[in-house]
Amino acid sequence: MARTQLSRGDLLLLNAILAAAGAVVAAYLTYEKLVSFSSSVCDINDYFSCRTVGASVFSAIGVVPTATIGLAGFLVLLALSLAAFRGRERLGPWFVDGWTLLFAVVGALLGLGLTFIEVFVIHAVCILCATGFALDLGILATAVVLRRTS
Amino acid sequence: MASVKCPVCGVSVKAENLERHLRNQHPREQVDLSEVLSEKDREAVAETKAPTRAGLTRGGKRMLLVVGLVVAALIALVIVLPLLTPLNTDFTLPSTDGTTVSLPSWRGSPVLVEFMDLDCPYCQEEAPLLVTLYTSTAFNFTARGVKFVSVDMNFEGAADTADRINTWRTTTSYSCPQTGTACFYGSAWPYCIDTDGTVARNYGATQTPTIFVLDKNGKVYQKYVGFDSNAVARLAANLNALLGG
Repeated sequence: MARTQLSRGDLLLLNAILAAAGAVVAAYLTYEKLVSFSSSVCDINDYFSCRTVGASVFSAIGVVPTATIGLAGFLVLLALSLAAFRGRERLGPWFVDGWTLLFAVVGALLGLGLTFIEVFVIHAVCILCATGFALDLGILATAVVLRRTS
Repeated sequence: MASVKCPVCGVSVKAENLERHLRNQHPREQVDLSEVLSEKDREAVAETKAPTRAGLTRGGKRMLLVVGLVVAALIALVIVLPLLTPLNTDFTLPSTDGTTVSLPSWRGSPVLVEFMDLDCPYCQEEAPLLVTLYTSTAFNFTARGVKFVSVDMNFEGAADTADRINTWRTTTSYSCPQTGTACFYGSAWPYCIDTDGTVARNYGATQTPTIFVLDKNGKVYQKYVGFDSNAVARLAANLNALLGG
């Protein structure tokens, strides 16, 4: 089977789409945490329940919802991807790809930690949080490819 | 800037022009510039080059379209649809005092629906606050038409029965916050048992205590999850707003 070769532009735009999706998911989780009163398919049962995770002490650091931190991270990744797509190569001391990789790694580590807490401490899984983690892993994978080929 | 040899044809090319040379002269060759140019040369090239938009391939466009559509569809399914679909807040259940609670028949009145469990310590803490809200002559909510109902989710501990709930309501005491003496819960509003969990599922209530304030049309006006020592003030403000003053 012929293998399609993706260009740098393809990968950067893919990163932007994943980051935008992550931002939407994180924004919704922030909304759920702060003001929600709608039902959600995210609440399937007692184990797969965004509300259970959202009601735990781990869903906020002080008064700031954890999802808001994720939202900020995804918006930074979106901005970096779009900046690189528009031709910007450097940002301060590093290449834009380096910044993207750094933020993707930090996001993946936070996502890994939160997933661990969900499974072993809260004993409930928030599918949308896991979706955000998966989106960040996708961004991390493309960031690694971009870094290696740039 | 230093000149480098083209790795394909061997001609000498300025470092900043190598990428363009490869693109124009050897479009089918896959050359990794990082192997040809030193880090210093690449940085120099980056500084001299005007920013140019990264290009998209035809396959990439297709892939991005598919990914974009899949992501948009998932977001619409998981997030947008539930937001646009109002909760089904209506239910009809027998209460523990032998009457029937039917929310459709309470249309025209604001309703406070509490999801609770007798064995939930936070619900036990919250109960006196709701009693205060229900009986307070300052608020006078019952006379003003506000309806209260508690829905036992049978969430934890021993199985909750009508007898158990009625005994708890009339004989279990707590330290009354106003007097410091023993008070009884004495909650006079109806209690229902959500035996099969349908009502809790319809409301999206997964933990206790969870309080919904419904407006006169049965739509959710506000929702509170978990115990809050300031519940009386918050709920009173909601109910007063729904009563128009």
